[in-house]
Amino acid sequence: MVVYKFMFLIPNKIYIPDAMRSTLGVAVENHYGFAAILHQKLPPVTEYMTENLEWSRDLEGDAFCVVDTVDEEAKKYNVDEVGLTPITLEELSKKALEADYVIAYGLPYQLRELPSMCADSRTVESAKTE
Amino acid sequence: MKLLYLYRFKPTGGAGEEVTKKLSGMMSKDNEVMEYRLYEENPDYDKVVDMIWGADKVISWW
Repeated sequence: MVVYKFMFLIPNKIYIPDAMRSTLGVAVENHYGFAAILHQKLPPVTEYMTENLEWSRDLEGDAFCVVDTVDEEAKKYNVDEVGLTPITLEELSKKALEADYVIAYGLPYQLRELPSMCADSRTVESAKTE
Repeated sequence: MKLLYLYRFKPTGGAGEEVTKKLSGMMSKDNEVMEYRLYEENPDYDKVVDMIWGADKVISWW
């Protein structure tokens, strides 16, 4: 069986959970899946996302946070609290060239932030129960 | 390596465009790069197919 390396590039916050799930998806098909968050602070991490990340790593994939393009607050949350692997843009460019498929995931980076009710699934869930 | 960059969206400026430019520029280093802008009027898809066949790696940017 041919094994491929996939690199998912994620510029848009609302696609992060989806893209991380896709990264795990290729890993369970016996390929290597990597994801790179290019800009933003992750949405509040759910148990589901944490499990996806752990499974991806168990299957020799990883999820990166590009530290020279995110702000300090996002870096602190993504790397220190959630545990994404820090990477520079230069290192990412090399890893992307090593990948067989580079997938620019979802829509481009948004110039305006979404209202928190749209950007944060946990907020929506908590709003439903209030 | 021959890289083909396809651009799907008209650049809107801002941090997203800047990072895409930087990253694609870094990846272009020591490689031969072809580019095609799919957002321009009447894209020539036959040409795009030929370019895809002629490339070692295709990246469809935003």
